[in-house]
Amino acid sequence: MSQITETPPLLAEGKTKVLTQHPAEPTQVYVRFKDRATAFNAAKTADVPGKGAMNAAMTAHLFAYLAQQGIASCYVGPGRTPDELVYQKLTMIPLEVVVRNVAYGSLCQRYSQFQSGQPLSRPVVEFFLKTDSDPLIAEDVAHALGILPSGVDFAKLRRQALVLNDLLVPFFQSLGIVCADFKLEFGVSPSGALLLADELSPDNFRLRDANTGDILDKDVFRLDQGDLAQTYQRLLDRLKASPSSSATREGTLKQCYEAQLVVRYRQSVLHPESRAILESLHSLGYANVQSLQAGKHFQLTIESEDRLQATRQVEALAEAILSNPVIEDFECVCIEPVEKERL
Amino acid sequence: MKVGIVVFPGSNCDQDCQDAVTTVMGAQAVMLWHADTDLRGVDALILPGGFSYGDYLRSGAIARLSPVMRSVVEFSKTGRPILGICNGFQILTEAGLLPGALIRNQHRRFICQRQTALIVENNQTPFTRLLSEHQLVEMPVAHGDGNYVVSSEQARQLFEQGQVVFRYAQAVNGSTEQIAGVTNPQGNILGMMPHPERNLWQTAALAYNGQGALIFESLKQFLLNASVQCA
Repeated sequence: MSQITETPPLLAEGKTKVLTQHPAEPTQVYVRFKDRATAFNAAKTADVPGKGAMNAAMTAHLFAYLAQQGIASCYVGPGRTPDELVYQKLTMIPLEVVVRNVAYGSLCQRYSQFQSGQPLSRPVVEFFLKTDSDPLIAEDVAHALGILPSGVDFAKLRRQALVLNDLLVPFFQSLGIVCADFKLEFGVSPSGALLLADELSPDNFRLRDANTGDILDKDVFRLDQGDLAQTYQRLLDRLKASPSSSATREGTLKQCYEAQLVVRYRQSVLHPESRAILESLHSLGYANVQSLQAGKHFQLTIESEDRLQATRQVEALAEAILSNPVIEDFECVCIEPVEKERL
Repeated sequence: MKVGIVVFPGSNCDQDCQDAVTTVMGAQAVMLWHADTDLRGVDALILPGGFSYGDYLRSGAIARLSPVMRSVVEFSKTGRPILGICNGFQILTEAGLLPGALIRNQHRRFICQRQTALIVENNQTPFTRLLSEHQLVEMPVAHGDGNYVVSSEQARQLFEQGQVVFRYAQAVNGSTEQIAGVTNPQGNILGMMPHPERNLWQTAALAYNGQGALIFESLKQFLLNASVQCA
């Protein structure tokens, strides 16, 4: 007979967080943020009273902001104590997705061409495997390790990371903060949805004051540049004083995005054109071609405030006009910023 | 009695429908341009055949975005009759006013036949009341994208609810269950691939039997009854 315990079962404990089962909601977990700072893969650690509560508050604030912008995440709500949040339980993808706008840290170590603090001409997305040493990982290795859930590849993670970058850079900009880089983790819900997870705090973000260049993140601890608790508290105060979401978007420069949209007949629809092409290939001797599904490809250039708005618009157009949902499926396979054409 | 005929760029059966309305129904034909939003008080609407907007994107896909289609949707909600023929049928499915979709004929050939045998599945509609159930009628067909697609489950439901109005007596284009014409659940909108307006008179030389006129005579009778009930 198992012993009945007062505390809910411990699900996992990491360097900075403890996960326990929510007693009433089987699909939810309590996430407690520890009062602990670590750097250089835990080679350097320190106890920082109040850090857990501050990280929880900043994470909740940023998840709530992203939710307002239509970004789904694991975040459910506040927990029982200030250092705790309630998350939806996800199957985590053991990858760290890093988005860089300014060259810092391991990027400069790997590529000596980049000076530390040098703004990058375009955002750089990198993938690291979550292990003790967090090595850079190529997509084929991730597939070979079997760590990517079905329907998820690097391109999809990269698209999602860049959507978040397009939201977070102007958000911090409106607070007078440069968002130099950040690390994201993703998980998959039981229904198969790819959701943003982990934490959104200065442990995972490199943030610099836009005017003074002051360090506003864990680098103060990494580089012994100041008091971690004070730095985090000041950042939390600035976040809490942030204007409403609509105000932060004002003055955003419009950008052109080029989208590639593919529209295909559903597998269940016997498509005469596809069959004709396949039969022609067979009659030409290419008997080994097993199947062929013809579709349509649209290339659109859209002027939009950010990648998210552009993606949403492409999907809305695909849904309403460019595909017939009775017989066709669509996929926006690529969306990238392009130079605005001079008319 | 006024019957509106919606003309899109690329419609080519609008004048045949005008003939049907004026000569068979003895009604006033009101030609409505795709850019119109005022339907000018018509009692019924016909969306004629043709190749609206060159069938670009998908047959009927661009036409259904025309300004006039917003008025057509509003008109449909009043329960008054709408007949979509060939491209008109495609436009009505694209607009979501009729179930299913029409794709390329299964054999990939454009079919053009003076007389194609149809089985009447439902004679209780505003368009078929002068026909009898299971009657064989003959209508011309002329289309490349007439292959009617619904799932077998949806097809079963359409038959159960009496929404299937015409079936081809033989498989001509690969349509699910040989469906040639369907209505919306309310029964006031009919879409059909065959062309009744091209078979209004008996002509021995061209082997037309004039049975298409029964569709327009049915509609006339329905509208006369409706106006009597309103009076």
